[in-house]
Amino acid sequence: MGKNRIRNFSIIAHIDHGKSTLADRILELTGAVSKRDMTTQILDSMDIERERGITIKAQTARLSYQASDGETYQLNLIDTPGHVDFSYEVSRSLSACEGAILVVDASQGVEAQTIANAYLAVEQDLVIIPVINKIDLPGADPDRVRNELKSVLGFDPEEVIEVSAKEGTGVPQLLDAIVRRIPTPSGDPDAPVRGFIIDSWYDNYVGVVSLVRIFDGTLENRSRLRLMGHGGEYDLSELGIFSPVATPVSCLFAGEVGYLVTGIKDIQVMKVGETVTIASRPAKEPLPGFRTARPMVFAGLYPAASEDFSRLRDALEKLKLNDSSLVFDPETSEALGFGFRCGFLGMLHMEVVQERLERHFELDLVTTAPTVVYRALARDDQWVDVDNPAMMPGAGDVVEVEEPYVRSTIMLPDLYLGGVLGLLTERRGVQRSMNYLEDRRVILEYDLPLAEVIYDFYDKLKTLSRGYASLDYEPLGYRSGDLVKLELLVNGEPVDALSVIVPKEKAYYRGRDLASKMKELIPRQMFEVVIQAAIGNRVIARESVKALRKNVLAKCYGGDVTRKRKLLEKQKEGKKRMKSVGRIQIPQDAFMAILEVEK
Amino acid sequence: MWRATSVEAGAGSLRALPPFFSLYIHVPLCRSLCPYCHFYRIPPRPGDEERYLKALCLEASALGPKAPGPVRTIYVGGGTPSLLPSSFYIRLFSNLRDLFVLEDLKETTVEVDARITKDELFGLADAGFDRVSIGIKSFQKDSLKKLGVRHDNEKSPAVAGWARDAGFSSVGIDLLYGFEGQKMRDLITDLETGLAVKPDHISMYALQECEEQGPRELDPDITAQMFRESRRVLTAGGFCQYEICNFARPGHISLQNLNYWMDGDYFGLGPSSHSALTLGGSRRRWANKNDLDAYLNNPVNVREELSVEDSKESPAEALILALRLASGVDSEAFALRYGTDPRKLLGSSLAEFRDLGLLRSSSRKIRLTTRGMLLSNEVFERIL
Repeated sequence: MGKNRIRNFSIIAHIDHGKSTLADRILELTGAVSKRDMTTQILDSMDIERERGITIKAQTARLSYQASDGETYQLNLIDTPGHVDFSYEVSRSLSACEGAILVVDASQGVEAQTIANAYLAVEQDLVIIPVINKIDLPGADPDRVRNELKSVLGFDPEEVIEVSAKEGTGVPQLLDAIVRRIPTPSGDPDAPVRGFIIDSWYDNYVGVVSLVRIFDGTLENRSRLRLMGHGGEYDLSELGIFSPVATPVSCLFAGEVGYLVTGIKDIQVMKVGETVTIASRPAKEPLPGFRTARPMVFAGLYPAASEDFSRLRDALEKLKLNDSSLVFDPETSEALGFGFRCGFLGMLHMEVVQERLERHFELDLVTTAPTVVYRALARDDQWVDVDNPAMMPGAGDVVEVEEPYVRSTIMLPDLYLGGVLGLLTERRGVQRSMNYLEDRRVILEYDLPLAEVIYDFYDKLKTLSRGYASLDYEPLGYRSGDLVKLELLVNGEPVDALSVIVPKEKAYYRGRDLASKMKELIPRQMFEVVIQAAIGNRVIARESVKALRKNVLAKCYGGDVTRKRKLLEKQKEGKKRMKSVGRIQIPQDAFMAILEVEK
Repeated sequence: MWRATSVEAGAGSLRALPPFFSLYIHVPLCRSLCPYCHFYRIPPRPGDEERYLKALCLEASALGPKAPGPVRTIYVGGGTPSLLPSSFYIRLFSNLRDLFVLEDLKETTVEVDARITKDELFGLADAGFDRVSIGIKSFQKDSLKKLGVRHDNEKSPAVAGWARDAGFSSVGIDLLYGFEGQKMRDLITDLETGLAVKPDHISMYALQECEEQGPRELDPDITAQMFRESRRVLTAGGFCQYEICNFARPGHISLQNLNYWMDGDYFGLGPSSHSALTLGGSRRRWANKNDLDAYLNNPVNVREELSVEDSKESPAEALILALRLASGVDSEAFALRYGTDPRKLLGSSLAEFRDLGLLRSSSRKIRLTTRGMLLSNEVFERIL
C-alpha cells in the first residue's frame, strides 16, 4: 500500500476518560475484531492492567478501513499507557505517529493529564484530533468541554468530534477525520532503511520482539539488521504486523508499523529508541535518539523468607526482560537480610512490579518505604547519589543535600482551592502560576519536591477535592534542601531499613510520630523494647513497649496435645514472618509504616 | 525413674507413677452450653444414653486388644458426666473389665458440675469412682453471670463436703479467672472459699476467649497478677503448684493428668476424645470427630489420625509437656527415654531463657520459673 494511504496515530487521554473503550470500538468498526470475539478493552491484555483499568505496556494494531472516499486505508493504532508514571512511554509511542486522538470526558472536562498529553503531542509536531467522549452519559456537557478545549488548549470548537465510545456514536466520523486530517507519513521509500524501535519485550518462545516504525526504505524479512546505537548485527527471523493478532509479513514499507524478531535474548540489546538499518546498505545517520527512562522512586524489596532470595532475583530478572525501566541491585539490610534496591518510574510502577512478583511468582515480600534519589555533597567535594536513606552520610560529613523536584499541574474546581493550597504549602510546594477557567475551575502550576509527591499526595489531593482534582507532573531537576537523616533505634540499635530523610523543620514531629507508630506495631516481647528516633546522636523521641507478662495455654484437656501444638506452631509461624533486629521481633508492616505517619 | 514432684514422693510405690496407660471417656452432654467452654458438648436427648453405652462398649472392644498394658487410671470428663446415672457407669465398667485389665487401677475420676445432688454423688462413688472433680468455676453469683452461666450456685460450697461423705478419697475443684469484669478481690474471695471447702486438688484456669462470643479475657497483665496471687494464696493454704494450672495437697496430684504431661499412653473413648500410643518406636496420636451422631452410628469409624511421629520428633513434644510440671525435667532420665538431651533441644535458647529469668537449670534439672510458666508459650515455641 502506498504510504499516502497510511495513517499512524495514538489515542491519548486522562485516566478513565475512555481511551481503551474507544480503541475497542475502532477495532470493532474496522473489522479487526468481530463483535462476538470482543472482550472489553482488548488492547489491555495483561490481567493486572485489566483489573486496575489502566494500560501499562503500549501495544498496537494495524487496521484496514474503507473511508467515505471509497479508498481503503491502513490505520496503525499505537496504544499508549494511561498513567502519569509512564508519560515517558507515552512520548515514545507518539514519536512513531503523525497524529493523536485526544480524548476528553464529556462531563469531567479537561484534566491535568489531558493538558500534559496534549503538550507531549505538540512537542512531537503531531496533528491532534480533539474528541469529547461519553456524550451518552446524563452528566455530559459537551458545550462546556468544547469551551475548555478552546480556552485551555486553543482548539477550534469546529474541529472537536463528539463520540460515545460505549455506544459507537460518532466513531465513523472520527475514523474519517483520522484519514482526512492526519498527514501521511513522510520519509523516503527508496532511501536506506531506518526503523525506530518503539518498544521491546521478551517472548518465551522467540526471544525479544520489537515494535518498529519504518521511517525510510523497505525492510525485508531475512535481511541482516544493523543496530546503529548498539553496533551489533543480527539476522531478521520474523517480520510481521499486529492486526491485532501477530501476523507475519514479508516486508515493512516506509511509514508502516510492525514487529521484528531476531532471536536476541537480551532486551538491553534492542533498546527502545534504537535505530535499525540494513547491514548491506546502511543509513548514514540514526534517527534522533531517545533518552533512557530514569527510575524516580527506589525501595528495598526483600523476601519475607530469607531462603527465597534467589527466587526473588530470578523473578526480577524475568520482569526486567519486559520492563527496561525496572532497575535492581542487591543490597543487604541488617534488619531484613539479603534483598534488592529497586528503582521504579513511580509508585504505580512499583505497585505493579510488587504485585507481579507476589502474584505470578508467588513471592512473599517485605518492601521498605519508597524514597527518591538524593544527592549529597560530601566534605571531599564529591557528589554522591543516595537511593537508600540508610546510606546517607552522617550530618558531619555532608556539606549540602539536594533533592529532585517536579513541576506539577493540578486542575480543580475553585471550591476546593483552599484545602489544596494548604496541602501544597505543607508539602513544600512553590507556586508558579494559578489560572481560572471560565467554569470556576483553576489550573495550578507548582514546583514540588518529588519526595512529597510519591506516596500519598495524590490520595490527599483527591480527598481534599472530593475526587475532582487531577494531577500531572514532570521532572524538574535537583534543588538544595535543608534535609536530615532521621534514624529509628530499637534498644539502642539503629534499624537501617527504617531510616528516612526528612526536611529539618519536620524532623521532630516525624520522629515523634514514627516512634509512637512503632510502639503500636512492635508486639510485646519477653523484655522491654525502647524505641528512639534520632538525628545523628540527638534522640528526639522515645517510646517503650512493656515486656510481655503472660502467654500461656491453660488446660491440656482429655489429652488433646495436638491442638496445643497447632497453636504453638501458629505462633511460631507468625514470628517467622517477622524480622529480627538483635533479639527484637519487628513485624513486616513496620517497614512500610514510615509512610503512614501523618506528614 | 520418673519422679513427679516432691509432694508426690510419699504417694506410694514408684510403679504407681506415670508414664503408664490410661483411659479417657468423653461424655459430650451438657444441660446448658456455657459460653466460655470450648469443648465438644450438646444438650442431652432422650434415648441417647442407651445408644451411647452400646457405642462406647463397641469402641472399647475394638481398642481393648491394642492396650499396651494394664489400665492405671480412668477419667470420665465432659461435658457433664454426672448427667448420666450411676447405673450407666456400673454397666460401662463391667464391660470395660472384660476388655481391659483394670485390677491395677490407681485412680478413677469423674467430672461433675456444681448442680449435682448428694444422692447422685453417692451413686457415682458406689459405681466405682474414687476421685471427683467439681466444676465450680466461681462461688460467686456475679462472676458466674459475667461468665454467662445461667444456673445458681448456692449449693456449690456444700458439694465438696457431700463428696467426702460419699466416700471419694480425693476431691478436686476448678476455678476460672481472668475474665472481663472480674476484680482481684473477686478472685481472692473464690480462692478463700475454695480453701474453706477443703478440697484436695484445685485447678486454676485462665479464661481463653472464643473467637466470636462468650466472655472476654481481662488485660493479660492483670491476669498475670492473678496467676501470681492464686499461687501465693494456695501455697499459703497448704497446696503445691505441681503444674502450670494445677495445685494439690500432698498425695493428691491427678495421676491421669500427670500421665498426659509425662507422655504416657492413653486411649480416648467417645466423640472428640484423644488418644496417644507408642508402638514400635513411633508415637501415634489420633482423635475421634466432634460428632455424637456419627459416633453413635459407627463408633469405630470416626477416628482421625492426627500424627504419626518417629522417635526422632517426639522428644520436642514430650519436653513441652514435661516442662509444664513444676518439678521440671530430669535431663538424664529424659535422655535415657528419648535418646536426646533436653538441653540440646533448647539449644542456645536455654541460656537466653535463663538470662530472661524464664528457666532455671542445674546439672540435672531444667524447670520453668513462675515467670517462665506465664510465658511458657514463648519457651515451648522454640522447642518445636
